[in-house]
Amino acid sequence: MTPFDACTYMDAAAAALAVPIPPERRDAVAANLARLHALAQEVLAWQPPGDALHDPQDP
Amino acid sequence: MTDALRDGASAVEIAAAVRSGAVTAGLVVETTLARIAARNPAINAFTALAIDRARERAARIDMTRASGGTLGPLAGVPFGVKAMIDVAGITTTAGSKLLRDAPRATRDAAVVRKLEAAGAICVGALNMDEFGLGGTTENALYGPTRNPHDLVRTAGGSSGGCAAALAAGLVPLAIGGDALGSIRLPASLCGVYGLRPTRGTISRDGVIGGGGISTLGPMARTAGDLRACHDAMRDAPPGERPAGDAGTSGLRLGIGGGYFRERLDADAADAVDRAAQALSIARVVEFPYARLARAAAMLINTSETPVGKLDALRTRLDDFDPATRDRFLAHVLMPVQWYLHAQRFREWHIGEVRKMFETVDVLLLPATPCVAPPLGTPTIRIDGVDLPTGPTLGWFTQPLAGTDCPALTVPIARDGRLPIGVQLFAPPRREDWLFRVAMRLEAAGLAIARVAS
Repeated sequence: MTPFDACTYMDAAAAALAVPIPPERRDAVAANLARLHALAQEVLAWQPPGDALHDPQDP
Repeated sequence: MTDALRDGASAVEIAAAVRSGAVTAGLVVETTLARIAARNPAINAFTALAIDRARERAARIDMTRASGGTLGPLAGVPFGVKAMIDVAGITTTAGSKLLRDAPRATRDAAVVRKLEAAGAICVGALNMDEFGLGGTTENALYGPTRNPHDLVRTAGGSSGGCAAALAAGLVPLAIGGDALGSIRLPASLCGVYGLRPTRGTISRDGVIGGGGISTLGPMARTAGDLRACHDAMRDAPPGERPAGDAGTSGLRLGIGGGYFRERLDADAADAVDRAAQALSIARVVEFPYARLARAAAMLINTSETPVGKLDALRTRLDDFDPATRDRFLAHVLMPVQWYLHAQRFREWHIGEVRKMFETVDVLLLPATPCVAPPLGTPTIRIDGVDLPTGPTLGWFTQPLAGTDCPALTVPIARDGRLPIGVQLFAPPRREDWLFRVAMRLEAAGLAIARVAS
């Protein structure tokens, strides 16, 4: 899996939301995103039992 | 002087004295305002006062009594609210420069209305981390709130103003808010009681900020006051049985193992062990998937806290608190799939917690990994490892945040040392079980909320 590049993601998401990230804030925002990414990896590694391909539209 | 005016008088004592005529509500309010004037500058708990309003309400209560009217269960009891809760006549800032110049609230939040309907008197707003994002109440707009037990230390957060006001003896009751631990954490560090009620049982009408897993809750210096405040502020279902003082007989008690025995220092471990001994708890219970529950709750709260702040992040970034600005920017950029997967986990995990509660009624857990660290400390050392202060202080409150269940911090007596609490955890709408256990600890002399000298 490609390693998470917090800066690349930050730039793309900030452009999509039209939220400017000042140059002096970039490192700190990227570091926060990297911390969130680490938490997300824990949660994304969990799959609902017997539900790996669950379709959210299904009852 | 009546006991109701002494330092550290309980809400129950004050209300009884006002109802009996031993003291007037007006004198209670004047004594409270004098204490705030004398002590608040050192701890910085109150950020705004409602002096005229408090005097007017006190006068109304005294007139009601004089004319033979019925007074409520909290008659004349002063309280403060976290600065995210609307109080008519005060600007609700949520600790943010972004809202400093906003118009004053024109109506009270539902919890304020409920408490005042019970006779309590709101005297002002209490400091917090900006929009509740933080665990130390180090606020650039108002300055940090200081721990009354040691002024160089944090009061915890984000309801740090509430906990400090109680520990300093300024008011007997306060209303805080808790998403990941913002009531339970400062309650532990300041040595007071704090309840995170069952999610959805306290109205959030008139409250700024806080995500979907957050709830308002009472904070107090005695278990009886905490219960009285909770009774007054909640939306009780029709026909609900009242909480009794039945002790812990018949309750199945357990102590958390695994995750909840890691990352706690000797002070925290001692508090839990003494509480377990006093309650004769021998059974160890594993809270399911604690580490994942913590991660999921943090992701959910992280996604929800920037809601409504997108325009401000685009146009008024410099007005955000330096302590939160970079975090809000990161939070607003978070991928939605992280949030949705965390919510899927949370829904499943609620069922796992329900299964756990099939074999135990109340779980005893640590509240914080250590006592209050000094203000401005970037890391805290536990078991020889340096860990980031903010997220680590909430290590034991965060895993419970997504469960919808009530949790209560109880202050453990410490013989002059810095305070620390333990957490009690119960199934949804079983706050009565939490109060029973807390009252037993209090009756045994182990749970004490000391007013700082």
